[in-house]
Amino acid sequence: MDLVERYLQAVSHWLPTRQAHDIIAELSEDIHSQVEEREASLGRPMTDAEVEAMLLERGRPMLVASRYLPQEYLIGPELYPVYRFVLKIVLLCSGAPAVLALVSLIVFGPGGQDGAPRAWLSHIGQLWGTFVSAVFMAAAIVTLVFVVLDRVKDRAGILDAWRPGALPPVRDPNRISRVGTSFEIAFGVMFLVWWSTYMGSLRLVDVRELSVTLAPQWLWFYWGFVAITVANIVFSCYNLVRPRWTMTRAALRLVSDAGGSALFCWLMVLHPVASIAGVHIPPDKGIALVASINEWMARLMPYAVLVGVAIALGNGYRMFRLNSERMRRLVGSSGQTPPALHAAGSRK
Amino acid sequence: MAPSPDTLDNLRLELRRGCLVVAVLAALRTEQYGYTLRKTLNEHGLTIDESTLYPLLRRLESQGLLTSQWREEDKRNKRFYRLSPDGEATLEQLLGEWDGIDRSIRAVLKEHGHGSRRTLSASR
Repeated sequence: MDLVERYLQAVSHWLPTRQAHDIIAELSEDIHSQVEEREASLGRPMTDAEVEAMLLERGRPMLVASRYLPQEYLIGPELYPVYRFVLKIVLLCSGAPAVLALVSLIVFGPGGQDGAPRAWLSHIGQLWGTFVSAVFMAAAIVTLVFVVLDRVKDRAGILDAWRPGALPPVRDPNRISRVGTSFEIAFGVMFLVWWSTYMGSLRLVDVRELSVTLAPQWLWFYWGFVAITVANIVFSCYNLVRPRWTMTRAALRLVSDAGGSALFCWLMVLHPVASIAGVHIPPDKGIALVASINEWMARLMPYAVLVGVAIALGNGYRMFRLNSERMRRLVGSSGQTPPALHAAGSRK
Repeated sequence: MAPSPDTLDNLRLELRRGCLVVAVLAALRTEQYGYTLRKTLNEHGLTIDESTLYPLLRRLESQGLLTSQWREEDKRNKRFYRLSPDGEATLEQLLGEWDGIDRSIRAVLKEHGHGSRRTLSASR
């Protein structure tokens, strides 16, 4: 019976002191009743192995004890979805700067070839430490806030205060915001005026103290950007009149954005600065400065490609979504499946 | 597609949870201690393990539906439970609720689920 006593002691360890004695007395009685009945049917005392098998069937002491305890949690099921949502955003915001810095160091760092590899590795180590501590700190603070909210939510009536009228309208991803389009047009026109006024000459800066000259290829970039900006302004004006995405317009936007991205990436490797000269700049310093600017622009090329790919993916997704909706409508009209919620909303 | 054994187990567990409370209250119209109560329920096809039964008994007692008393029997101290007057009234209400649910489910099955109704009838 030593095993039974050890089992009871283990269960008792996980119980609140005030209730432990009572619960263990009852559990002990139950086990002894079971042993007694079993021994009567066997006609002999139970072996240790049989007792062990019986206790194994009753379950791990901690689990048995937990059944007697009230269900406890730090953040309850009502607030947990909000907690998870907020945690994701906070983790993203707190971790993103460190990740960006880490990627920059890997892309632009000496890479252990011609620079100081130990210092570089040490920077990466420091950044990794910053990333981990930022993420842990953010997670701990968010968790703590939600633990407190969970304790006071009933008294403060946090979850009761809501109005159906305050819910956001049904999302219609195919509707083009007229406010946004108006900003696009205004920004496009202002940019075009500035661009054609100041950026159309190869002599970018030409004053007495300083002169910056661009390479002849710059003019290709200049006129390319003029063409794309004009096309975008016309496109936005049409969107203002008919504010809905169609497959044709989504494809046009993809082409226009891809063209802009390609031009920008080309600019990065163009070596656009031809010369820098000035009263206070010695010629050799000017040459070094030009080389340095052009080199850094070329180094930024991977970022320009990444941004271009992200924009193209966004446009591609819009086209995919429009096509899926069109297919759903076709199938829906043949009575096989109901149309999507936002498609229904958009008909209003 | 047939549900996974886990899904079925969880659904059965949910279905049985409330029924076990009614069964325990009904069985304790006669005074019993935990071990014999468990055996009684087992004999009637309502298997319940001790780590479910004893916490349930304590909860029902704390809700005033049961009373308990430590008494010596066969040279061992045992805790005997029985239904309290409040428990008796609650049991009556729960049995009324049970009949209502039973009637409703049968009505739904009669209208929509011929196959299920036959299975239910066959199992009774």
